[in-house]
Amino acid sequence: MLVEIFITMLILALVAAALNKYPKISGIVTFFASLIPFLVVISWSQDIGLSFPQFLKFFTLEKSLNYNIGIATFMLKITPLGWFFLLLLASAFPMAILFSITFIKKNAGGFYAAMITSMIGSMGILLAQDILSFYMFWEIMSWSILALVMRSHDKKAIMSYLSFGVLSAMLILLGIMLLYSETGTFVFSEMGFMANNTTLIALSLLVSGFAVKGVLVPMHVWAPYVYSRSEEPFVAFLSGGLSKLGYFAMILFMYSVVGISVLNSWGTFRDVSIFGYTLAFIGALTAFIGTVLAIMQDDLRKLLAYSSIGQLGYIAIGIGIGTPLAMTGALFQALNHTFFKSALFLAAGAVYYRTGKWKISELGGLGYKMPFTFLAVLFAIFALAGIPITSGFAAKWLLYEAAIQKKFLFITPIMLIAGVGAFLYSYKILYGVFLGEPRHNVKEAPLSQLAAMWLLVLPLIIFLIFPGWFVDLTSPILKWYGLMPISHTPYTITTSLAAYNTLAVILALIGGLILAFALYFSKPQKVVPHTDNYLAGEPPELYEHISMHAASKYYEPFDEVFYPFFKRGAEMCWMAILKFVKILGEGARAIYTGIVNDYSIYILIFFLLLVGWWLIW
Amino acid sequence: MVMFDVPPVLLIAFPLFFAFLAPLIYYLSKKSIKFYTLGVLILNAILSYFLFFRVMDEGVVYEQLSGFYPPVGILLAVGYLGSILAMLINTLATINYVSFFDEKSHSLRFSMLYMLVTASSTGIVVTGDLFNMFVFFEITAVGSYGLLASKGTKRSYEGAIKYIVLGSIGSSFILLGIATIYGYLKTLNFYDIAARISTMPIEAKLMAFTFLVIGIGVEAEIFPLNGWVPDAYQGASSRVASFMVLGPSKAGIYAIARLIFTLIPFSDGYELALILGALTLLIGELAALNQKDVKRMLAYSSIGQMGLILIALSLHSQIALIAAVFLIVNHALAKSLLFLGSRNYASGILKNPVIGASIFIGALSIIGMPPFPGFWGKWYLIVDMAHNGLWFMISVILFAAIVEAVYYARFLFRGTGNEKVTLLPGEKIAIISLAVLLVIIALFPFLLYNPASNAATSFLGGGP
Repeated sequence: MLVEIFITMLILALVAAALNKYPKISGIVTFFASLIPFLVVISWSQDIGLSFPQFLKFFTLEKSLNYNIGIATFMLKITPLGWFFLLLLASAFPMAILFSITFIKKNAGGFYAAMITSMIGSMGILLAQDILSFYMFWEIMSWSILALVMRSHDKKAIMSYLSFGVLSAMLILLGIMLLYSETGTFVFSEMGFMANNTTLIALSLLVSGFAVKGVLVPMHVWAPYVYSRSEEPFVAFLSGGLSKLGYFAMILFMYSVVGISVLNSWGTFRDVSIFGYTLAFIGALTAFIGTVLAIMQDDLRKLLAYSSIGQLGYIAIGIGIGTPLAMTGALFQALNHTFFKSALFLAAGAVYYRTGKWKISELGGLGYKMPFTFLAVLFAIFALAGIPITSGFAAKWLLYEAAIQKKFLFITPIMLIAGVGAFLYSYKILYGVFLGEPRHNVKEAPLSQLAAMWLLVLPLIIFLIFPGWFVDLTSPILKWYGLMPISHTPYTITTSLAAYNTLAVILALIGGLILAFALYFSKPQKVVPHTDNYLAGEPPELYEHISMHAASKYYEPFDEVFYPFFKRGAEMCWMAILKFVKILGEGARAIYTGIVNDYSIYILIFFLLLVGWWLIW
Repeated sequence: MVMFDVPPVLLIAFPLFFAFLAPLIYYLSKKSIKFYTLGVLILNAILSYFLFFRVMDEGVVYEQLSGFYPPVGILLAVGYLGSILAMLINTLATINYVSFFDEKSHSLRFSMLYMLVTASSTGIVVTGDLFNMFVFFEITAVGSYGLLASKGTKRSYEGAIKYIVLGSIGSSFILLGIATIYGYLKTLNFYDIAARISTMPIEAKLMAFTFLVIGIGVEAEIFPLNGWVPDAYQGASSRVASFMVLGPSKAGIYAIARLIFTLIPFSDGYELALILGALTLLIGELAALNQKDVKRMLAYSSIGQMGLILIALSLHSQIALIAAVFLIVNHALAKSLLFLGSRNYASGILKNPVIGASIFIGALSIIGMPPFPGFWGKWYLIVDMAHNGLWFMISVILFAAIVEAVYYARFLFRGTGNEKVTLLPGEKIAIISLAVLLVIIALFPFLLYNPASNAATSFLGGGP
C-alpha cells in the first residue's frame, strides 16, 4: 500500500506537469495529491499509540515496508518521531498548494511537479530506517527544492542554495559513511555504538550537514537569498515544512541512532551532554542573530527570512538540552513555526499579489483593505512573538523553563533578548504594512489564499486552548526515547517550576477584551489625520521632506548600534572560502596552457618522475 | 536469449569491411551514404547485443584468428566488461550518428572515419593480444584526428593537431612498452604475458609498465598526459566531442584497466593509479569551475570523471569495480548527452521542456544525484573507501563533487548564452534517447549491476 501511495503521488506529479498550460486545473490536481500525505499520517495515528477515533483511519497501511529494487533494500517504517514531523509537513503542504492555485500563473506544471517530488522525498526521509534510503530521499528532496529555487531566476539565490545544499549532502554522506565503517551496517536499528572519537566526528558532521536545512548559524547564509527571492507558496513550505527535516534528522541521529548514553559519555555539563549544550548554544546564537538582522530589514520577505532563522534557533536549543521539558518545547516550537511561518509567508505573498510591492516602506494601511489577511497575520505574529493569544507562548515558555531549570547562564538571557527582539520586528510588519496611512486601493486576497492562511492559523488557536492535546501528540516520542512525558491535562501543563493554565489565561483575556471594547465604545471616537500622528499637530507644509511612514528609519538607533557587528559576518567567511577555491581553479586552468610544447614537456616530466619513483623504490 | 553465437571478430570486421566498401556506395548514390552508415552501425549494435548475451550465458568468449594457436596467433577474448563496453560503444555510436543525420553535405570521409573509429574502439575492448590492441589504438587515434578536424574551423584544426602530437608521443611509448615486453618474454598474448610477467627482471617490468601507462594514459585522458583534451573538445563540433567521449576514451580506460589488472598487477601500480586518479579528478574539476566556454568546461569535467573512474579501478575490490562500471556507463551516457546539448542550452527548460528535462537528467546523473547511475557509481565507490578507511580520498571526492555541482548548476542556469542555434531534429532524438537510457538504468539498476558484478569478479581473477 505504501509503495502504491508513493507511485500515485509520482503519477499525479507527472499529470500536474502535463497540465502545464492550465495552471488552475494543474493546481487542483496537485491539491488532491497533497491531501494524500495528510490522510496517510492520520491513518497511522493508532499505530504509534495515539487514541484517534477509528473513522479517521482512511487507509489500512502497513507499519513497515522493505522494498527491494534488486541491488539494495529500502527499509521504511513509521516511528513516533517520523509521524510527528510528517504531520507537520503534511498539514503545511496542502495549504501551500491551495494558496498557489491562484498565485502561480507562469509555468505552473513544473512548480507543482517539483513541489510533489519534494514532498515524496520528505516522506521517504521521515520513514527511512537505513542509511541508503535516508540519503537517497534526502537528495531527492534537496534537488526538487533546487528546481523550485531555479524558478526565481536569481543567480545569488540559486548558487547559494546549490553550494550549501551540496555541502550539506557531502557532510551527511561523510558522516553516514563514518557511522557505516564503525558499525558495518546500513540499518539504523542494528547500529551499536562505541563512544569513541570517530562517532563524535561522524555525529558532528551529520549535525552540521542538517544545520544547513535547519538554517543554523553559520550555515544560514543561503536562507535569506532563497527565502526572499523565490515564490511565496514554495517559501512557505520550505521555511515552514522542509526546514523541520533538518531538526528531525538531528533528533533521529542524536537520540535514536547514536543514543543519549553515548552523547553523555563525551562529557556532561549540568546533566546535559556537552554535545547537546554546544548545539543549544548555537541555537541561541542563531535565535539572537536572526532576530537582530530581522529588525534591520525593510524588505518584507527578507524580514520574514531572518525571523524564520531566529525562530528555528529555538528548536535547536530544545533539542540540545534534551530534557523532557525541552524536547516538548522544541517539538511545540516546531509545530508552531510550521503554522505561523507558513501563514506569514503566504500573507506576504497575498500582499504582493494585490499590491506588487515587497518593501515595507512602500506599503501601509492594508489592514483597512484586506482585513482578513490582516487578522490572519495578527494571529500568526502573536504566535511568533510568543504572546499568549496563541500557542506560541506555550512553546517559548517551556523552552525558557527548560533552560532556567538547568541554570544555563548564557543561553537563557540570549533567548530572552531574542524573544523581546521578536516584538520589535513583529511590530514593524503590523504597523508598516497593515496600519498607518492607507496607500493602496486594493481588494481582499482571493478566496483560496485566504482559506490557506486561515487554515494555518486555526491550529495555533486550538493548541492555545488545549496545549495538553499537543503534549499528547508528543508523548509517544518521549516514551520512545525512554523519557517521561510532562504532566498535563487538556488545559494545564505542570512543570517543576510553575503550572501553566490556559483556561485561566483565556478567560482573563476574554474578560480583558470585553473591558477594552467597552472602554473603546463608551466614548465618541474622533478620526485623527495621519499627519497629525507624526507631526503632533504642526502644519504639514513645513515637514514635507519627512517620510511619514511608520517603517522608515523605525529603529534607526538600534540599526546604528548593531549594523557594524552584523555586516555580513558569516557570508564574508564563506565568500573567502569560495574565493580561495576559485583561485585553485584558476591554478588548475593555468596548467592547460594551450601550447602543445608544454603538454609534451608534461609527458616527459611525468616519465622522469615515474622513473625516479621506481629508482627510489 | 542467444539466437546465434556471434563470433566476436564480426564486431570488428563488419564495420571495417563496410567502411572500405563505402566509397563504392558513395559512387553509386551520394545521398544513401548516411543510411548506409546508419545501417552498418545498427547491425553492429545488434551483433554487440548478441555477443553480450552470449558472454552472460557462457562466460568469457575466446576466439583465435588466422589459424594459428595462441600464443602465436591473435586471440580475441571477450570478458564481461568487454562485452558491456562493446555494447555500450556500438549502441551509443549508433545513437550519436543519428545526430549527424540532418547535415546537408554528408561527406564520405566522415562516414568512413566514424565507422573505423567505432570498429577500432570495439576492437580495443575485445582483444586479447597486446599488439592487436596497439594497432586498434593507432586506428582509433588516426580516425579521431580526422573526426576532430572535421568541423573545418581554425580551432578544430588546432585541437586536432595537438592531439596528433600528443597521440603520436603516446603511441611511441606504447610501442616501446610492447617492445620491452616482447624482448623479454617473446610473446604478445595477454594471458601468456600475465602468466610469465614475474620471470621478467624487475627493472624491465617497471619500464614496460611506465611506457604503457604513459602511452595509454594519453588516450584515457589521465593527468598530466591529457593536455590535448580541452583544446580538441572545444574545437571539435559538439557531436564529434560527444562521440569521442563515448567511444575512444572508454576504450582507453578499458585498456588501463587491463594493464593494471591483467597485464602487470603490482601494488605500486595500484597506488600510482590512485594518486593519478585523485590528481586527475581534482585538477579536472577545479579547472572546470571558472570555465566560461561550455564545451571546454565539459571537457575538463570529462577529465575529472576519468579521474574518478581511475580511482575506482585502483581500489581493486569487488565493490569498487562495480562502481567503476557504473561510472563508465554513466559517463558515456550522460557526458555525451551533455556535449550534444551543449550547443544550445539557452533555450532552456522552459522553452523546450523535453530537451531541457533530458539535459537536466544528464547533469544530475553526472553530479551523482540519486537514483541515476552516477549516484550508484559514487555510492559504491565511497562505501568501498569507507570499508578501507580511505578518509582523505573520500574527502577529496566529496570536495570535487561540490565543485562539480556548482559549475553544472551554472551550466544549467546560464547555458551558452551567445549562440542562438536551435538543435537539429536528429540531435534532439539522440539527446532524448540517451536520457531515456539513463532513466531505464535509474529505474532498473540491477540490469547494470549484475553484469558489473560478473565483470568485477572476472577482473579480480585476472580475466578480461
